[in-house]
Amino acid sequence: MADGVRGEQPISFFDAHCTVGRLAVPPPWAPRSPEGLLGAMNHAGVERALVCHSQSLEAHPAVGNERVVEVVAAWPRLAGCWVVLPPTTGEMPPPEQLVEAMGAAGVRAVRLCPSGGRHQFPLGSADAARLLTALDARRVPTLIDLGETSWGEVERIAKAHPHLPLIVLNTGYRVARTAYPVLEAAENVRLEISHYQGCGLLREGVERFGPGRFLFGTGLPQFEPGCAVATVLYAEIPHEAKRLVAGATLEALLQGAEL
Amino acid sequence: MSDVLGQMRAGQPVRCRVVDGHGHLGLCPNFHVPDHSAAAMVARMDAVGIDRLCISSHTALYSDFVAGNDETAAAVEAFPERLLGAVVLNPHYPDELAAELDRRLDHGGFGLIKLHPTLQKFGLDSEACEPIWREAERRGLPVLVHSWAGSPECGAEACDRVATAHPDVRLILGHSLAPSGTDDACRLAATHAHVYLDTATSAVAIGQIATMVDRIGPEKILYGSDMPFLDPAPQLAKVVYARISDGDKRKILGGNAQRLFGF
Repeated sequence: MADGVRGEQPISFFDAHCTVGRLAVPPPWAPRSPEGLLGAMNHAGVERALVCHSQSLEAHPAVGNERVVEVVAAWPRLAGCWVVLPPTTGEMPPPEQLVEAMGAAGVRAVRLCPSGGRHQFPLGSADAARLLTALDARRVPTLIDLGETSWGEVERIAKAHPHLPLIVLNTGYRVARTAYPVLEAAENVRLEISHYQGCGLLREGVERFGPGRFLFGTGLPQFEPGCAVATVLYAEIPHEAKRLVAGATLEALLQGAEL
Repeated sequence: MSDVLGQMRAGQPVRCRVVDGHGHLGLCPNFHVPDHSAAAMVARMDAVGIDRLCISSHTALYSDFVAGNDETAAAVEAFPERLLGAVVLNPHYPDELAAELDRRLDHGGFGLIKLHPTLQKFGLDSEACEPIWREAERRGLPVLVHSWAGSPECGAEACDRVATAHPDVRLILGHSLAPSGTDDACRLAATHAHVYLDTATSAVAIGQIATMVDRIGPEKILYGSDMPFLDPAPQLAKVVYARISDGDKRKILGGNAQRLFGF
């Protein structure tokens, strides 16, 4: 936690982009257990993390979603995020039941992985719309990797579901020309900044769209978390903006989920 | 706790000699970079604690190398204590290479050559590049090359052939054969005494810097940011947060570059 000057609330880092559990192809130094993950977070000064389970991403989401509930029960600095599917095939409960189950499990965010390399489903289907409508109705923060969608699709979903906090992961440093129109068009779109590292990019984004549109994330366990921490701490933005980006906005979004 | 790590955790400029061996300058055609001017980059250097930055202009890399080197010269003239120019040479203009080097080196403020085989579409080991390597050898100039895993122009094989053919040229592998060629980059640095690696990459696998130090030691690794594509704070953090000794960090952050560039 980084202290502010007198009267300022301290900056507390809450990671919006983190995976717990063993990866199929772990980088040599990647933490492979919750203890290791917390060690990496401690080294970088990250207080909390919203985590998907590796099995939710790499294996079947229903399997990993059970695991993540067990993990976060044992490690209170971790908050669970489920990876979800539309109801098309019956592999997951109907959306209305799914959000009820989330509430019962203490899970307050979801991630969608629609790409061919992951869970392979169309975001434009009626079933996906039904899922997104249920999430929208409960204001459930919904994460999606930019590599699994497109800015056009992000804008379409955000406009169709205006109460859905839509968080785009892995935006990279080359996105301003394509991301800015979407940020202008849809206020419920937010960017996770683990790789949003262009020179002055976070400052410009905060000045133009407000600090509430950017969320700290690390990409742990694959990536060095200190890089994302430094992106926030050294940004030329006010202390309060850093506090919001670092974790306060994510905390508010999770609390705002009506589950 | 490491001194520099404590400074970064507090968001303060790091208090050690930092030389950034890999930077650029100016507007970029592919994407928007807010803080791309020399003044804006020097302000970012101040915020983070960087003493010197080696730059080459985007105009030189993407289009006209002479016009771009003019931009670099103007920036170096404006900040002579903070910026060092890299002369971009384009082998598609063989008749202009020696004269361009003469002009920049006579003017001052330039201390290395920069080559970008991917953007300008030439092989590092091509015949067209031979005059550049000979000039670098004759003048004792380090050469920073864009190196990229799997690239026929600047992948491990091309870099290896150049390093073998020109053992007297200090060759810096920009990006260390990213995104997947760290092993090859370390092998080349271990094999060739005159090959150096730099740390400029947009995404850093956790433990990557420590892995490089384990394999080749800290002496041949140079801090580089790729600024202004990438902000220097997260780039610096990858070294400062690495699980290596403070002494190793100081070598990577500045000590090695001081020796290489003769600051």
